[in-house]
Amino acid sequence: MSVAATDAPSAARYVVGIDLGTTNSALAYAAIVPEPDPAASASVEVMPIPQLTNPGEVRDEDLLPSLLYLPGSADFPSGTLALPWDAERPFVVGRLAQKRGAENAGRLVSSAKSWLSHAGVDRTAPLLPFRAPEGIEKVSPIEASRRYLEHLREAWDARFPDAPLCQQQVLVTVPASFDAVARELTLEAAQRAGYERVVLLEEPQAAFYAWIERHTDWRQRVRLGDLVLVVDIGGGTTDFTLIAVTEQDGELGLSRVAVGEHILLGGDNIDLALAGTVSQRLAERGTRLDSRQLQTLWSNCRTAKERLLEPGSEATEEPVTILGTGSGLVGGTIRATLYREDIDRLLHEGFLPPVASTEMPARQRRVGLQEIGLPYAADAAITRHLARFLRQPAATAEHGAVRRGPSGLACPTHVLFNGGVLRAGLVRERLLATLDAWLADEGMPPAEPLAGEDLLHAVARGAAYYGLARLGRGVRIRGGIPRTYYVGIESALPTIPGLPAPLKALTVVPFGMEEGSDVRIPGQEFGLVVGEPAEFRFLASASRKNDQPGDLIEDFAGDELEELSPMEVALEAGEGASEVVPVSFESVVTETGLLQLWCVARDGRRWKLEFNVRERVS
Amino acid sequence: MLSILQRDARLLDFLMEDIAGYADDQVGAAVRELHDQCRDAVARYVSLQPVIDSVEGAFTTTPSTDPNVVKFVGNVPAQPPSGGILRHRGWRAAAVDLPVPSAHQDLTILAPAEIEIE
Repeated sequence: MSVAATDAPSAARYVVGIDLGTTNSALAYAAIVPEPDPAASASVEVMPIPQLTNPGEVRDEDLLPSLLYLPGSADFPSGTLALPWDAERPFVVGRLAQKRGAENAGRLVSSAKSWLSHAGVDRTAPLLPFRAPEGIEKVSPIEASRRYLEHLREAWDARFPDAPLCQQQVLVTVPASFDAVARELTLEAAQRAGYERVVLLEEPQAAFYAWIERHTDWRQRVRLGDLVLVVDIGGGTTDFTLIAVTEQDGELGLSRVAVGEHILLGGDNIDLALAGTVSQRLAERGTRLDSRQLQTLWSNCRTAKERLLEPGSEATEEPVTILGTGSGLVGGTIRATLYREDIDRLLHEGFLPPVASTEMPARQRRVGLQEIGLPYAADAAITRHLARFLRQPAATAEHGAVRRGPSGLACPTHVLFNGGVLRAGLVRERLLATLDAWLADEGMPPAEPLAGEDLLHAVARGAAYYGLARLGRGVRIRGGIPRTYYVGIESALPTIPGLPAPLKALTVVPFGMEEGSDVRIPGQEFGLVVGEPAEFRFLASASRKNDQPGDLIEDFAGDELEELSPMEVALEAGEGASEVVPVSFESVVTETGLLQLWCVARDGRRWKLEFNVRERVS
Repeated sequence: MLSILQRDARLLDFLMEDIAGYADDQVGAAVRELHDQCRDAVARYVSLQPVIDSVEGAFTTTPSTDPNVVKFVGNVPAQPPSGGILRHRGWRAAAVDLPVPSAHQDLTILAPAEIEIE
């Protein structure tokens, strides 16, 4: 695996996240600030991507459709494919490719990424567009990916001429289901597109980082040992991933524990099925549609569906109009209606049926001879695919800590939604209801949905955010205090002249305790001197990683614990007289790295000792 | 602009069609669709603002006496007045962002003919 430089090149001024999607690509970036305010959240922005939207017309759009159109001489008037940075571009990428491809599918390369992950074909051979007529020069899946990446690089360079993309730290996301070859090919495509420093990041992780970017209170919502199910339903693909919140070297980390198959089933299937329902209703009235009208019906059904599923929408039906073809527009207009019931029924019976967790998707019938093509899913029921995914064994043995119910079903504690289809609340609710029913069967509490926003750009944003985090800028995701902290306790021993009373160390902050969290220290009480100046001694250790809060360390080697400069404080006593109060401890580490040690007396009185754990870290 | 409105919203097809024979609801259905698309197309290329951003029917002082900007109607005195009742707010194209046609484009073609190969 030839992952390039792990650290940002010194010339890098930005971290760039690229979501190279199956149907749409996006680019997000964040400036690398030399000395950032650690408490401030990173500002990740989505870059508008200039692209041809009509012949001769370049416009900025937030997404670059991952589509490539290979024009013939009769497709576009000459000179109308010029980009701001290339007047003679012989092919079209993006929105115009999508528009023209709908009219002439034979020259349209689509789903290059699915082909890139299809082990059944030679992925470097020119085989796309798959159903191109004779005489069209085809391209390989890797070449198509290269052209999308090249377009993004050129768009970047046009926008930031003094910070070319090849000098920036770039993260490109890939599905977790990509095999080693597909990853290698993605890197190769990036290199051929003029990228120099590329790191790959898995999409579900990026989606999760995007969620973290948006929720500064994430530490309160996700804890060590949690299992997050990432559900990503895009235009043409569905991916499931399980991410465990783990601990590595005292830091909170994310590790992927299970990856589902790359399922070729997505929002387009839903829209097509809705169009099918409507066109069947039209056929019953005696109206037949030609292929062009079906295409319009498909896209209008998508719009109508989105309107019906909008949050807060009360409408139970939405008109779908297909204008007449040819110049006879009004005369040929066909009107139909899409009902909310249609969507409900389709999801209920087709895509998200409330099945039992033991129901597996129908397997493809194996016919001896098969046409080579993309392995489309044979079963449209996403819930059945999910059931199979949750029953499959974990990806690696080392992550045996997957929470499972009595029947062996993996039981996530949280669900993170990603992908355009899941913008619709109805779809999310249905999926969650089915999952919660399974969890209830296993005797587990329902999974908590992690609401994301901006699902179309989440992966790109998360990638940029992750890039910042690994440079140590922005909020650290795996952030934990890289030291164990102790408070010094004077031993209760007979005084020996000339020798100070030996010091014991009580663990108050365990290794890797996260900023913004608190811990109650169990165990015995200690006497706290109040009402007169007293010295408080704190110790730290970078090597003792297993001490738990409340552990009292008596014998420690001199270099194992490092004593911090002592603090002399006079804590206020209630009655004015000095006394020794029995107290127990609570420690809090704030978001800004301040350790507060609270001494709590039995009667509820509290005293606070605090110092900065960040400055102490040498 | 005409070409764009035809391409994105099929405005020419609509204007040039004889709609006298169709029922109102048939025309209405088509117009609803067309209206959305025309408005989208116009909004994409032209940002429209009222010339005088005020309530129609209320007394308004005139920002200018330039006949390009304001048209006085009714009992107009000899000297241009300083204000009156706003009857129409007017339209101003605050920004126009039309694609520049390439030298090879035939500008007399507003919409190409379409031939489908079965």
